[in-house]
Amino acid sequence: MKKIEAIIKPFKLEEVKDALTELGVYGMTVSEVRGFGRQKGHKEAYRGTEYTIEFVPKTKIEVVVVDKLADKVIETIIRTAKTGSIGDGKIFVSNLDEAVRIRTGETGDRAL
Amino acid sequence: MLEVLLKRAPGVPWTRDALEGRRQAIAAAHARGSSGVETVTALTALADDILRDLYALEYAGTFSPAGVVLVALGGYGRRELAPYSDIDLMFLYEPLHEREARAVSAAILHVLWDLGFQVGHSVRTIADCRSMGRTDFTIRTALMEARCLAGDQALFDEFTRTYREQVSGKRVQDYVAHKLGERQQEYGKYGSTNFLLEPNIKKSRGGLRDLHLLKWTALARYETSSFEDLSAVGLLSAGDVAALWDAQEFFWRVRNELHFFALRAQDIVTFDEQIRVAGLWGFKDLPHLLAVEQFMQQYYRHSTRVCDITSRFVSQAMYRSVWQRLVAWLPARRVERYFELTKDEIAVPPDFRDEAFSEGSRILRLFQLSQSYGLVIADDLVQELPERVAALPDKAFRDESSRRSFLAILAGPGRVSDTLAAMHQVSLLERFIPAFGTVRGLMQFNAYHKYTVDQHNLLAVSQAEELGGANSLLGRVYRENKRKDLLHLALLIHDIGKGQEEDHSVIGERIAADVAERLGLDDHETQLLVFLVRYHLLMSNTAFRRDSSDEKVVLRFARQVGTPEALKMLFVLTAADVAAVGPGVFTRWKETLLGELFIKTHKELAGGEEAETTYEGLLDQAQEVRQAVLERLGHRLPQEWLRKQLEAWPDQYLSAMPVERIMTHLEWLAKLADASVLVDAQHDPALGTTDYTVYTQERIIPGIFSKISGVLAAKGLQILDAQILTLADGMVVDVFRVQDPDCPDGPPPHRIRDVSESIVVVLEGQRSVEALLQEANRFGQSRQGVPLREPTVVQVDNDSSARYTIIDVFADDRQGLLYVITRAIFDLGLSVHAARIATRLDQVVDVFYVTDQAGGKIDDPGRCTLINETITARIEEYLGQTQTTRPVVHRATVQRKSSGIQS
Repeated sequence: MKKIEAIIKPFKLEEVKDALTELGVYGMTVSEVRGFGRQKGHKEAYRGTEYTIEFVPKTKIEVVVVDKLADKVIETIIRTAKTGSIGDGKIFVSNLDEAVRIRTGETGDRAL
Repeated sequence: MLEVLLKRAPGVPWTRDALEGRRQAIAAAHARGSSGVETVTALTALADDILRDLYALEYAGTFSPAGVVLVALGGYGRRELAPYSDIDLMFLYEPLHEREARAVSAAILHVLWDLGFQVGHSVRTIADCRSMGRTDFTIRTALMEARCLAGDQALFDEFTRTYREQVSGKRVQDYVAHKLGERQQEYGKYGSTNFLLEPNIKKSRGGLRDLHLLKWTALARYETSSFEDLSAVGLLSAGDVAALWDAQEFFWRVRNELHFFALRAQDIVTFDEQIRVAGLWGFKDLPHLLAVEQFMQQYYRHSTRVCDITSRFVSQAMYRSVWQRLVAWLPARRVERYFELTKDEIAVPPDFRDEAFSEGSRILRLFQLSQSYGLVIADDLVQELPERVAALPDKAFRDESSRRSFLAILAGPGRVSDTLAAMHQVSLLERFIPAFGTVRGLMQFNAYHKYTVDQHNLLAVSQAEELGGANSLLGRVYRENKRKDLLHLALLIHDIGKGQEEDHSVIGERIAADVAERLGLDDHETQLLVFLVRYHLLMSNTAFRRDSSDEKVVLRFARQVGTPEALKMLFVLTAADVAAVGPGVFTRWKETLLGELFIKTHKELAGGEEAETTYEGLLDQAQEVRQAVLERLGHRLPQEWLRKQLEAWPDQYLSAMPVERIMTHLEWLAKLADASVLVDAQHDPALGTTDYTVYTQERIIPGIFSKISGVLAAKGLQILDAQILTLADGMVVDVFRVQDPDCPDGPPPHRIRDVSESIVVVLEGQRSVEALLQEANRFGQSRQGVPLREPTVVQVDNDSSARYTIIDVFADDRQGLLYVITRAIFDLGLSVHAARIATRLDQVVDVFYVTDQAGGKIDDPGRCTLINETITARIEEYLGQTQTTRPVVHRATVQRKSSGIQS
């Protein structure tokens, strides 16, 4: 099993979600996150006062999928979340030891 | 129904099966429709039977019945057992009989545990009860509701008498205050609104516990907990009594159903249960209102009533001592004949009420005074206000004075939402906003919203007030809003269209128009209000679902919003709306996204000049720049002239422009003595743009701006940006930033010379723009390509700047369009003082700061309409000429573009 975390632009969520659902990913965890990467935040001025946006708002998607689906998921996220401009985000992939469905106690792939 | 239930013969020990059998019989009766009262009474009788049997069994042989008594406490004492409620018992004994009491309690408790009851128990003497009841208010409460089950009746009577005398009648004030505090802690834990979407029927606000609180308070203060007794002495109205009975019956029935179904003490009305019970009780889905929503609306109506009546009753009970009433009334002062203000209350003496409330405006005035003095309205007055309000006809609230008071309440500052909530409580809001009556207690059946529609709307107002106090961009924009009454009104009605089939924004739009009419708002105010309600989701949809770094997105949004004033309101409204969904929903994350969109859009709408900049920092900065320029140029140019020009130079420009550029402009202007027009061109290879700066005198040449744009268009240049500076003695500096499609590698000197000379000859009147344009017609320049056209939007805005009228123009870009627009402005007799021309993709967003010839704003509404119509018509005509085949995309922006906006 692989856990795939993607940090994307907020307005891309719907598109990414739809594409992943179509791919057969049935569950995901979504959170509002703030942070910075190479973009390092920016400043906006309103009537003479600067408002610094240190941490840029992003959306984090977490999905856990069986190994053989991982590449497809990554490829799909890249395709749908990309705008080509700065701040498109990142994808992190890690191996996952175990998953358990709390209601039934099922483990491994069957718990996904 | 109870008589049919089988009675078990005494003497046979109780078994789980026997208990279940009796309980099932009660459940069956409940399912057939027996009332909540019948069910809790039957369940109490069942428990009584069991305990009396057990007690009789214990005493069958050995013990004498004297000296020990079995007592029911708490809810069981009140005979209000739900199917799986705990049973509270006390074994009361005379000191000599302690051993017996312990033995009998152990025997009975074991059987009860085996039967599966949850039991709370104690073994006490009367002295124990007295001392514990004095110090522990929880025990004191339970003991107040004691009921004798079996055993020594004389002992029980003795207990009741001494307890009343020595405990429950003492320190009533403290006791009630303590219970109230306890209850408030529970609110914190189980929901501080009666409108939780998954309420705890016992502990949430307005639930059964509030009924208990009323009963406890009554017992402590008046030694009775019967609603009828309380009504007989005037502590509750007949309406209150009926409402309390109805609510109690409703809650009991729901709770019984929850318990029977879950087979345990399930007190939370979960979504699943709401749907199940609504179906079971015969609520039917209607097209616009689900069965479950109808069911919960009933629930909330009950909980609201219970909450209102209880809080009124309790505070009355707390402050009824003669002495306190005296203190409260002594320093009262009379205001406007009817209203008496004390330290913390506003009241109307009973003798004056008929007269005072014969007019709607005085009821409004009462709330307005309560708001501005920060005083609550006296409880007994609140109690009778609903009837007073209902007694008045609709037209009683439509006079000028009522409207003014209502708008003043909405404007604040301070306590706006509190006052509105108080008005809602007495059904006064719906006299101005009839739809408010229909959304009372209307829930939104989804996991996202935590409150009912009316609560959500009121909460949104209070969120706006709260966010408005923050030291943030949002707080600043809230404070900058000049029409907070309209903002708050929009928040108050923004979701009011919910609960019907049609899109709630569209219904809301109609309701907003109706409310505006009732309140006598003028056209401009009406447009703003209607816009805010109709498009209250536009900004969150744009900020959260669209890419606000995409200029096209920002432009489209700016075009729909139209003016900085509307944008500022929409920003605050959006944030407050999100915050009012529930705690923790309005995050920094959302605030940042909305803020970014706001700033970007504001730049589009306010253009180059910042309206009404009042920053001392900025002024200081401008003064410093003036000083620096004077020092550096003073030896080359006449001091007097320099000073005069610099004074006329707008502060915003001085603080934003590099000193070198200012100096260059001044040096060129100084040369104007020798020529009527001077043109300076600078190419910036990095940007690929050329700046043409034109120096001249407006006095000599009218319509400069439009003429220059005409020349540049005729020469095939694309205008990206333009700024106009009007200085002292009618000196004008116009800077046009252009791109030259014919010279992608930068214009050669002859090209620059050609453009510059053309500007001079046109401004000097030797040639006309029309002639140049004629000459410039090129072969085969068709303008096809983009399949759809955005509608042209022109806004005349008199609110954003104190000195200028601002004209915002959104249109498709076309070569020469700027000339058409500026020519129209010139023909209208207006003078352009500053402008920001922006071409994005295939759209122009032009902002013009204009005055009439006399230098004043254009205040006349008719003239504003004319300006709007003329510019729109000229643009449409021009675009139609150059391109007739492209259909216009019409969106529902009609009410914003239909006429000019005036204040």
